[in-house]
Amino acid sequence: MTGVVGRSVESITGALRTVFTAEQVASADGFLQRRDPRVSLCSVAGLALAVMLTRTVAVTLCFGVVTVLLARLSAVPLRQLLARSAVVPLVSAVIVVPQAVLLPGDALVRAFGLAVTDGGVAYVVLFTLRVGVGVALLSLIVMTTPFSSVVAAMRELRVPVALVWVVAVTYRYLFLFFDELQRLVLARNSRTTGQSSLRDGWRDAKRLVGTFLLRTLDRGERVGRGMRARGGSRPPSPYSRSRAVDGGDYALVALAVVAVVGSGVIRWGL
Amino acid sequence: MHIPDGFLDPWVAGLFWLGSGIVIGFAVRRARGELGDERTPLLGVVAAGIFAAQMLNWPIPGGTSAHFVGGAFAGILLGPYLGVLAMTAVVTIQALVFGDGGIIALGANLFAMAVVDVLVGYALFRALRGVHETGGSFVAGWGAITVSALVVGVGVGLSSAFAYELSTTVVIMVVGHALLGLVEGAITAAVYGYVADARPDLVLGRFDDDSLSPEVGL
Repeated sequence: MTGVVGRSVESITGALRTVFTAEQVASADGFLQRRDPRVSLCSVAGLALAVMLTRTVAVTLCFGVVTVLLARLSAVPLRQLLARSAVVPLVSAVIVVPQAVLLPGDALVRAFGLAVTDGGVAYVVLFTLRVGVGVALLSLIVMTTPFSSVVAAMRELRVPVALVWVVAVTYRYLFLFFDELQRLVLARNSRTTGQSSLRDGWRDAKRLVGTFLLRTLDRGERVGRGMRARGGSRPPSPYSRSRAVDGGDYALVALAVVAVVGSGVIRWGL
Repeated sequence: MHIPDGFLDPWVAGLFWLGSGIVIGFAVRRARGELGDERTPLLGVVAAGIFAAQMLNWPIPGGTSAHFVGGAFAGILLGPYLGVLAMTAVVTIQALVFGDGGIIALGANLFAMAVVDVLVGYALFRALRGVHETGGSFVAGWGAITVSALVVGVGVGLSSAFAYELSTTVVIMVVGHALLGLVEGAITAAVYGYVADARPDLVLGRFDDDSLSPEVGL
């Protein structure tokens, strides 16, 4: 038995599997994969904003259909998209489900002195759908745009260069450190037998994270020494520039603009 | 702690983006001043380490597990500005690589976990380390996560998209995270104690030059 600490290997493997699955989809030839990453990022953010603006189930469902269409055009398996996007809305539904009886409206069902109202049910459905479509849109970006392209887009979108470098280097070293932590946990598991108590688990976790972070800092120092040995006068330039926008990019931007404006018009009746 | 899209009104999300942008922009300027352009990216190595450390399961009573958030620890280890930048990288990658949180809500998540968590953790540790260093790191971890939860509670409670009243969201978030924060505080204290024992030179403020690592100037 290696206890809760030993099961960290599964957490790390699960995270890596998520990323590698997304990278497989991102390497496919699809509509969003062919888009300039700046356009993908901004347009999907626009669609997410439009979803946040809406207050009607029908409009939210329309955005859900748009999301599914984008996924189909981008060779994103709907089962994978659903698997990535289902948990958060379901948890969100559980959080807001008391509103089904708290919000005023005509009673649909009465039980134990409580009335489930139509207004309450409508709110729970709308909220869950809105969160679900929002999460699915984020999943679309994650699954169709490699993070190196997102970093390049951040540079083009005038995010401070120093911050982009920090993000890029974090990503670059992340998987190396996942591997290192995984090896530390596996080594600990291989020399651990029997049921470990809570106290033992904490002692092991403390040593693991402490040793791991010290190794991390040591690696940072060695990277610094290496950079200085190579001259060190220029900061790393992580990723290539984005390509030029084309007709498909303009179409996606137009879709996002229409979605935001349309959502606002429907909500406020401008 | 990650807020998904759909919980916040656009204007609340916009305010969080504004707040995050101002603090992170200021942190970038300070970091460039402290480290120089060529060494700022090395902060990413430390950020990647904190991110990976979040993957470890810590046992808690009841047979379940908790995870390290690390904002307060980043503030303690790196100082406020570099800590904010490191956690900004972590939260951004969590959103855009692992799909945690949301696109519109990213500003709020950055504000809670990369700004408030780090700054409150740093401030509490700085105020209390003269009394008791490990105790100060515990309070920093606990207090930072609780105040971050308060910020999330206020943001969500002010949003008409989320039907619960502000008083409800604040109470639930603060009470819940004040309890969960005990675990974060204990992890922060445990990890801080281990690192401080093994490499006292790394601990911010232990020495006159206030630098994390003399080799790279972090």
